[in-house]
Amino acid sequence: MVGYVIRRCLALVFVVFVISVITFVIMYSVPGGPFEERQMPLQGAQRENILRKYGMTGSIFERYIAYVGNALQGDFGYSFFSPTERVQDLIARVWGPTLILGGITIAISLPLGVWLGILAAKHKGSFLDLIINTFATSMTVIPGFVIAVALILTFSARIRLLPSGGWGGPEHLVLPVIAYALGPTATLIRYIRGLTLDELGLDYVRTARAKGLAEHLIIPRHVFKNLMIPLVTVFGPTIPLILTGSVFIETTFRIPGLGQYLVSSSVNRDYPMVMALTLIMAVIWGITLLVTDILYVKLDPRVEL
Amino acid sequence: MASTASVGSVIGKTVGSQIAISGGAFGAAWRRLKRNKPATVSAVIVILLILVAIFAPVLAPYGYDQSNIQDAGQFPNAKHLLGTDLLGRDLLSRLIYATRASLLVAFAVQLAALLVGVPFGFLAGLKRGVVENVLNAIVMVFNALPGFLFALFLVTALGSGIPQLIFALMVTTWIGYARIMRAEVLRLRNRDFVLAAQALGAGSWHIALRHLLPNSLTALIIAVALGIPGTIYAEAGLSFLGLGIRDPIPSWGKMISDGIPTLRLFWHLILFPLLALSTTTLSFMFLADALRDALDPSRGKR
Repeated sequence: MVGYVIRRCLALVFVVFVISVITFVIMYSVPGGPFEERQMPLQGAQRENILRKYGMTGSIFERYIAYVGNALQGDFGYSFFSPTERVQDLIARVWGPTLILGGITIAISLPLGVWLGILAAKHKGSFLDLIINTFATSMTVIPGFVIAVALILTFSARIRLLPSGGWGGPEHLVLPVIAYALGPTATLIRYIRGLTLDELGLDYVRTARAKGLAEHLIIPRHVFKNLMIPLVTVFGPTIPLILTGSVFIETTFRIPGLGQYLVSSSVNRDYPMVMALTLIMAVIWGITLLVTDILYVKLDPRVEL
Repeated sequence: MASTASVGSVIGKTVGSQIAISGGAFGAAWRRLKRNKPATVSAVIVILLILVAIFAPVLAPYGYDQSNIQDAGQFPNAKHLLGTDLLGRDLLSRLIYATRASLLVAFAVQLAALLVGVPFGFLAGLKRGVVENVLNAIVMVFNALPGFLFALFLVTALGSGIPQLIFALMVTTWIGYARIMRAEVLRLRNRDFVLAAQALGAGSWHIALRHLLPNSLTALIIAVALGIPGTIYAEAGLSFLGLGIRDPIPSWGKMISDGIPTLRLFWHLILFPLLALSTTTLSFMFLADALRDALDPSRGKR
């Protein structure tokens, strides 16, 4: 087990290294950028100073070595579009709102999705099942940005109950969390419903019934444990995505969060930001997959490393 | 064993015409599929959408960039069935051309991803030693890339437009096909019919194309069917952000984002593209679900 974790961590270091090289090379080879002549006409010495501040002098090889050297010491350089702030400070500042939003979203959608999914499976074919299933299916196909706009129109524009955007008090959280949570909840419902139906058809459920176990105890005592394994492998990898924020939700509700930067930095060619965000995503992603696999082993005694 | 291999190779030649044969694994799948009502409806919608995409220039009453400024902002009426946008362009025509763009991207991405992923999966499953390690390392790196964000990064680096979009989405899609193909090869590699072919002196390309590929078709068909709505969704998202399909070619995602500022007044500008996008992804998803249930009866009744 320990050996396995160490091997996986070494693999993660390798993966992050390769991704950093790929990102760096793509950024380097794409023409244009904020300091080209047309964007920022500067004289020789000034230009050199600016380029030096952002670590844009020398060959690609030298630049990469310098970047990695600094990054390993926790310094990711300056953002092009926020020149007074270092990238790591900027990310630390904007990640807070995203983490709060994402955390609440997970805390709501995970239990709700599992509960409604099991409920639908238990009453398969009933009116309740039809309602839950229709809701889940329509929520998986309607994009989050459309739900966000519809919510603002209803609750902010029409009945003026909640703010249409911004950040601060708890009232600013309600609509974004609803818009954000509907998608994952719907996916979970569909998934859990299918899995529960599969499980209910298996022999161990029949055995449980045959030995006289009360119907309402079959799912919590037997089926639920078997749902945990696929739940971890499917929902686990979506957690880092939720925690790094959605550009659609954050722009629509004007939330100063990380999700906006994932897109805007890439569109604005804010290379230091892009680089740092890519590396952060890769590390979080790798750790999540590792934790998922370890949990998988812990939950299913048949699997060995 | 031999019979599944032969059925597979028959299907491999012409899926469309052979699928209706009664008897055989695919014949049974076809009958299961026909019994599934939502799947039948979805299949009809999907076929209609494909026809709309192919015959867009014939079906569209106006051109997609034909603008008539005195007709701007009309609600649905007899002249413009779904109304016009704020530049006076016919909404129905734009939706029809958007279907074409969306499906073109979706199918092209799956095709390109298959062309890269399937040979890669073969190699990863069949080769040993250094090749295997290198391929595994590549898989590991691509697994660690968050799909949508990496596609977004690529599109911003390459510039927007349909070819760039297809490339960017292919880069984030092929790894799934490679993984499925590799798993199928590992599953089939030591089966009797493969060993028999090897004993008869068949080369590895012959085995790959005549024995492994036909027997992996089920898994690949399901993966492609699930991949299409995913790609449509990703394309709409990128276009919504203004990074996908470039003006003047219409795209559902772009039409939705363009409609948001004037949503309270001109509701039709956002409603119809939204309906088109949702209907399309929903139909493809239902069809994929049904295909999976039909082709893989071991999954049990839902």
